[in-house]
Amino acid sequence: MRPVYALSGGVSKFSKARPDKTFQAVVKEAYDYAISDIGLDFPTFTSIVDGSVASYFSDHFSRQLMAGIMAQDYLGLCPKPSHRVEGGGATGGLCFQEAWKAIASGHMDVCIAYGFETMSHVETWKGNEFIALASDVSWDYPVGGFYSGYYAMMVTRHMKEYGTTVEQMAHVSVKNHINAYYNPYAQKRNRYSVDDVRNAPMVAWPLTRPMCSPIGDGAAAAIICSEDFARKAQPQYIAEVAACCLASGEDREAEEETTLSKLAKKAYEKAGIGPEDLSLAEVHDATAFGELSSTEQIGICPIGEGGRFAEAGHTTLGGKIPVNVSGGLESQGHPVGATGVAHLVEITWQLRGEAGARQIDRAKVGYACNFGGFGNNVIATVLQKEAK
Amino acid sequence: MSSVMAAKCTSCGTVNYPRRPICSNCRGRSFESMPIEGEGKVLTYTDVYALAIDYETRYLRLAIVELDSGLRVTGHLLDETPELGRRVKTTIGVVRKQGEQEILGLQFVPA
Repeated sequence: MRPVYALSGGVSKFSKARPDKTFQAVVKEAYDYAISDIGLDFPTFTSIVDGSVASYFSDHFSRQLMAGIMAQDYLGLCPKPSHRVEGGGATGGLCFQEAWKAIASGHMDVCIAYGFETMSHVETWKGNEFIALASDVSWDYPVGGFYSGYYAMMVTRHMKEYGTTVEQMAHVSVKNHINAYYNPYAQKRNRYSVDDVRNAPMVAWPLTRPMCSPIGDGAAAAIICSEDFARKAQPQYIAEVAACCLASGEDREAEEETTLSKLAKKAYEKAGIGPEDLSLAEVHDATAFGELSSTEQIGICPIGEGGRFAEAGHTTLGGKIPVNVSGGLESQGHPVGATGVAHLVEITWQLRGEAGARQIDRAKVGYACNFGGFGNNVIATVLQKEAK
Repeated sequence: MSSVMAAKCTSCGTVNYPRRPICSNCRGRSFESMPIEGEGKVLTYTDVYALAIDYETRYLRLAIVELDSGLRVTGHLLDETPELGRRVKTTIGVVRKQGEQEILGLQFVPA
């Protein structure tokens, strides 16, 4: 395995619906952004890139099979190799990892990973139902739980065990919406107070609407490459993919070692760092509790302390370790297939120093944690900027 | 009366639910069917308000219950004043209607 480098990334505008464009054209927005960041034009990049990986979660949303190849054709990349990957919520993370494998193995020198989802073609309850099909359709799904319900049951337990409060979760939501306010590509750029979040319509007690990620459309793309190409194409900014680990599992309770926490240890070991070295983390806040729990599981704070840690402001921009400066799934949006790629795009922007009003001072190391189900498919990726 | 069945491993006694062909504990391959029934305590619960359009209820009270056997199961909680840790017992009832079709599943009532 040879080292892999993250070159650039781009996203489309994430929004409730993109009736203006087909999914292929939304992918191209993200794609063009990623290319323009390395100063290449479309034809030049097309001649250089060796292949791509496409990701989207559900065929049901777009009512289109082989949507990955259709995007590939639209982007003028045929006949270069491409395939689609899927892993529930971890779909985007898997997409990035597939591209990483292609470079690490020497199979490709330059690869582009693009993920997308167009969820607006169906009503929200139908979208929730499509997503709920990712739970066991023989056992869990018939009982009527949507994912928000499963999350809510984890919340209730966490509140009982550790004294976590609804207000603490509201803090996570408020913080993420403020971050999204500074992210022009985010879906929900609203200013909320803790009371606004608490008094919003209930989704699954105690989770209210602003604590849950919205249904939406969007795409993200990341270009990764070999060391030679990185040094030639962009010598002023070199960032290595220091770890890119995947695991599967069935998680039970927070106090036990989980797939998330075990994988985090592995990723830190691979990258030769610890959680204290992180400049930022992008985690899977499908609900506010996802973020709260992830900060515990990846070692940013002790188990059980996630709520108090967030309430104290340690995860805000300018806090100890900023979490989800992009706005996260709750506010940047969660077009499922794009989400995991968008994590890496945000970290890339931060390491490049191009994140605008939400730029973290001297960002060096970023950790992305993307998962499907509840730790059934977990992917941890670390990007580390080379010191000059 | 119908029931929801789990599979008890004949070599190590572990109750596998949902059923699977290989025991999650000892990798054994022989099982005997065991109905999921009896008493336990509410491990966690929630009221889900964002429901599919064909539900005729404002919200659905879901719970995960730890049965005395140690098995954890998901179902509807039929309790006006739910509390974590409360003793409940299992019943079987309609958990969803799809048109004319009724889907039976686990429900819990106070013990």
